[in-house]
Amino acid sequence: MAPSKAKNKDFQKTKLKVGKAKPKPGNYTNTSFKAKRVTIKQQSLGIDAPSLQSQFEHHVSILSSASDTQRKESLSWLETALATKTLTWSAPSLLDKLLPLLQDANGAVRNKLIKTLRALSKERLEFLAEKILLHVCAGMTNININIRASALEILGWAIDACGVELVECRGGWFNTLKTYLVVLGWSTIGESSTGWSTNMALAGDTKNIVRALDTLTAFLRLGMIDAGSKAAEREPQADWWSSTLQIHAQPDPYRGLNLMGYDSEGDYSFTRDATHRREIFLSQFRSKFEAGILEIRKQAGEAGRAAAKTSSVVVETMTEADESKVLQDSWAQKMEARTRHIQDRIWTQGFAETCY
Amino acid sequence: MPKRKVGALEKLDADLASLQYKLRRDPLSYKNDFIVQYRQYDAQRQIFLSAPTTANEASTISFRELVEFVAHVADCYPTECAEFPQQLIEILARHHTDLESELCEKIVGSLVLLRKKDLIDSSVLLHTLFPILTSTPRKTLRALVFQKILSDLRQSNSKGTNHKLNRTVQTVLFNIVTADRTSTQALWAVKLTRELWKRHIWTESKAVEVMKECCLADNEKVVAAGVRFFLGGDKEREELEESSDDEDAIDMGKIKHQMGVNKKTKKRAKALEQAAEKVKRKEKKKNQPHPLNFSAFHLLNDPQGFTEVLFSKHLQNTKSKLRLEQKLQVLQLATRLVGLHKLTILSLYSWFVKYLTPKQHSVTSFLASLAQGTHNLVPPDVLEPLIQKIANEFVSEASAAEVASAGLNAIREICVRQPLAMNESLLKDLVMYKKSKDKGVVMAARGLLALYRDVNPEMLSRKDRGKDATIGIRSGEHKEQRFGEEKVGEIDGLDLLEKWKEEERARKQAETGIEEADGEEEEDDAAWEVESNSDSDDSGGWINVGSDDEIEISDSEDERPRTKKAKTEASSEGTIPAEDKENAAELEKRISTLAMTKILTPADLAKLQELRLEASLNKALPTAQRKRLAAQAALQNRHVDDPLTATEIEGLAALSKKATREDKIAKAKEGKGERGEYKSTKAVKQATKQASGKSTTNKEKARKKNFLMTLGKAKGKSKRSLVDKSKVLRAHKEREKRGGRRGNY
Repeated sequence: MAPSKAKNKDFQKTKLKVGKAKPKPGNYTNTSFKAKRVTIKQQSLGIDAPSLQSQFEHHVSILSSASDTQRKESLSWLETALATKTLTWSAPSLLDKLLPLLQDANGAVRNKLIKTLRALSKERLEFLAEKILLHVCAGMTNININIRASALEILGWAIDACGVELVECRGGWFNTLKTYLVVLGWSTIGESSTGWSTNMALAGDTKNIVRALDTLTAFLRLGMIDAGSKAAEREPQADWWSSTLQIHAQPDPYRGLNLMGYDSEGDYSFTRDATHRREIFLSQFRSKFEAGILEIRKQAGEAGRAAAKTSSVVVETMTEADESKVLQDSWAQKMEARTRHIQDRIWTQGFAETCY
Repeated sequence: MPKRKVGALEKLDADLASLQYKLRRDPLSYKNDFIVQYRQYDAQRQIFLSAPTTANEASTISFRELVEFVAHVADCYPTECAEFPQQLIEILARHHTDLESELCEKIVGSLVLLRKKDLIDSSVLLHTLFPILTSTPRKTLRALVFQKILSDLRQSNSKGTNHKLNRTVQTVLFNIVTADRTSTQALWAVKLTRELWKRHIWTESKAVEVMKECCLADNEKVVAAGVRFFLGGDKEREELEESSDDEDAIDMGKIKHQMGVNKKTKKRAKALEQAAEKVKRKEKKKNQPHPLNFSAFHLLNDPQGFTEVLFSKHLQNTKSKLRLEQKLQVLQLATRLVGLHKLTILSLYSWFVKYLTPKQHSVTSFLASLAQGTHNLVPPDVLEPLIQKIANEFVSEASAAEVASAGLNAIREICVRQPLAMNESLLKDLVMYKKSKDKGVVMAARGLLALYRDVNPEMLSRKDRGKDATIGIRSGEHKEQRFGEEKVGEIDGLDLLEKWKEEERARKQAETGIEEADGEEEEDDAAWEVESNSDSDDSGGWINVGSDDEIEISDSEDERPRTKKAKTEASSEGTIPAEDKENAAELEKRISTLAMTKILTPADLAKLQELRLEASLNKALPTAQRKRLAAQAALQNRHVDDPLTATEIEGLAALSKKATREDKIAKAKEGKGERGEYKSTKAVKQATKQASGKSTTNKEKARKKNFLMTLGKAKGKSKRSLVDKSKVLRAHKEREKRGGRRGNY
């Protein structure tokens, strides 16, 4: 019997053709691979579980991972770990990793971030107020409205966590207020514009407006009303020795010397005290804020109520300003009288000397 | 957070590109949105500035995008963005070394964009980019910055020369070059200047001054680059011009044909119109008088001082680190300047002595440089030992034929420029080589002989002088030129022009009125023409002294009075009989008045050129002689700006060796085009015809027609009537007599 066709095939010689690749043999194994990464199934063969600290470091490093779920999971791990366990971490480097997530495109990641931040212990966070505020301001002006909302939420947390330092730090007062103006769409109030404006800032979303106004109220209160009393608390006793020789407990005690050569004017400047901030607010922001608040109050509802609260803070500020102005005026009068007295004395002395 | 409902309009804005599009459409309405994004940019900038060195690609991506966004819409909100350019400049200036590369490029690009939108001016941009160009260690950034600088300069010079900007940039470059002579930073100056010179953007002396400083630098690379600019910059410029001419040639015929074939639309009609306009403009440009392009050599300020320093610093100085090739280039530059400007550097010639041996590497280049550096104001006693040395070292029976021919050729080239450098006995010796067995040597010796027959035949032995020269000596026409003697300048062929003008005038007069005097006058003119033709015959071949020509052209605007060249005068005195001498003087006077009284228009100059050409060809000479004369004239007409190269010295060596078969084949194929496969000449012709877009003739069409299509007609043949058949047959007979359908009739 003739061999079957299939069997015959095995013994046939394959024809080689010019310009064609050589046919592969039957037992050929394809060893090429396309993956950019090689995944090894067993990564760690150690018997001991990784220590808590190394796990922490691992999760912190994953925070900048490309995958959403990974970021989210490591954030949730961090959240629980920070709340329950004792870990050694440096706030600046951790926040360096955490804060960029504020502008994360994924909402779930941002929500987790807020929770994680809340889990952080608040001590010594005031040292990082400037950094936090920079990221918050960036988030507040993000093109994505959801990110803006998250940023506002984090600002609320920051007001709690950092306290007065938030308004005293570089750019803390002026820049934040300016950002508020822009975000609420009040920056162009009073300008005559021929175009119709959509005012995409936060318009149409009451929830966001309420959130913005709430944080604004808290921020203004912190900057102009609470700060005065707090600063008075913090002020060292009128002991001349301790006030001159002791290093202050506040962050950046030598701020007054301006060692870094920052501008004393402009968006990113220091605001020394509540009176200074009040001055800035009254001179540069009041009119626009008042106009904007009035407009929102007209809408009534939840937003209107929030606006009413804000306006009450503004009013309070103004009365306080008046008071301090009265105080200041009296002080100025006193000073004037004193200088005049001194001048008189000098003059009379000089006169006496010349006579002599 | 619960999912919020997002309006369609909001959704769209979730990316900067669409927002940018909207902003550009209606800046006023979207002002709020812009302000928000500008704050965002500002915040991102602050974040970046808080840690500029640690920022990586991922963290700066949003900042990068925002920079681009703001740069694109900055012109819509000038007051809001007033500080934007300054901020970018600051970032770039402070952090360009450690900036993330993409961000860096984006910032550079944005600055250029702002320049295009006229938000910053060119000088600000260039002052920002120049320090980066010279100091950054990044290669890609350097390339980018260089390209941007170049394009900005081109842009701002596109509509008219921006003198102010050019001057500031040139000053910056000059300072870069002179600030630190040992550094390679000056290479950027060279690169930029060369590029702009090539593109005709910088044509003034300040640019040349920058290159001059480069030539005097301490760094070898910079020196080489500077020297190469002088030696090759002008040629490069011309080449670019030619290539750009060829590149965008529009075939009007083709476009018109396409218009006829394709559907007619307004767009196509417009395209045709534009093409026509472009062609017209180009034609106009071509016909315009050539812009005065001084070569870099002519724009040099103080060539004597420059050449002296160049020579003493790079050549004479034993500590100079230049390689031999670089030294040769410097030598070429120095000698070219000496020859062109007739400079006097006596130490140059004694320096040459040690290099003039056949064993010296690339000695022909040295010989060429020596010849190039010779001119009629070089003292002959300086050159004499050099010539003697060349003769001793190169030209002897024992030396190889190539060496001897190169030596003789070099001597000839030197003596063309300074004939007084030769002494009589040496010349007699050298001329003897015309009896050599080697063809190259023979040709070289004959060249020398021909030169001295013309220049100073008295130095030759009697039998070598030749007929013309002997007659010349006897008639006292040949005067030995003394050292330092200059010929009186004139415009070559001006007499021809004047004659032509007179002729024209006469013709016009004749046409308008006076009929009777017409014939007589014409005859007179004709006679005059013949006379003058023979007159310029004698001078035609040998008068052209290029350098004088060049100078005349350059200052022809102020139209100084010119007199006829002394030599022409001498020759005309020789040929014209004594009684005509007065006539000749009168003629000469008239000629000089033409250039004095009138400004020659471009049309005049064109006619002058034409007449000159005609005069050199239209001779009653045998063809061979005419050819020879033309070749000689071509050799003489070599522009004085053109360098003398080693190949010209070596030229005759090719005759010394016997050509191989391959050489012969290559030479035969030289002029002919590429021929891929075997084809008849006719087929080649047809292919070229078709390639140029021309159609075939009816006959060709008939021959190529499909056979099956012709069958139907052929069938009709059998049904022809008897009369028809006989007609066809008769025609056939007739055709046979003529020799076929395509026969010779």
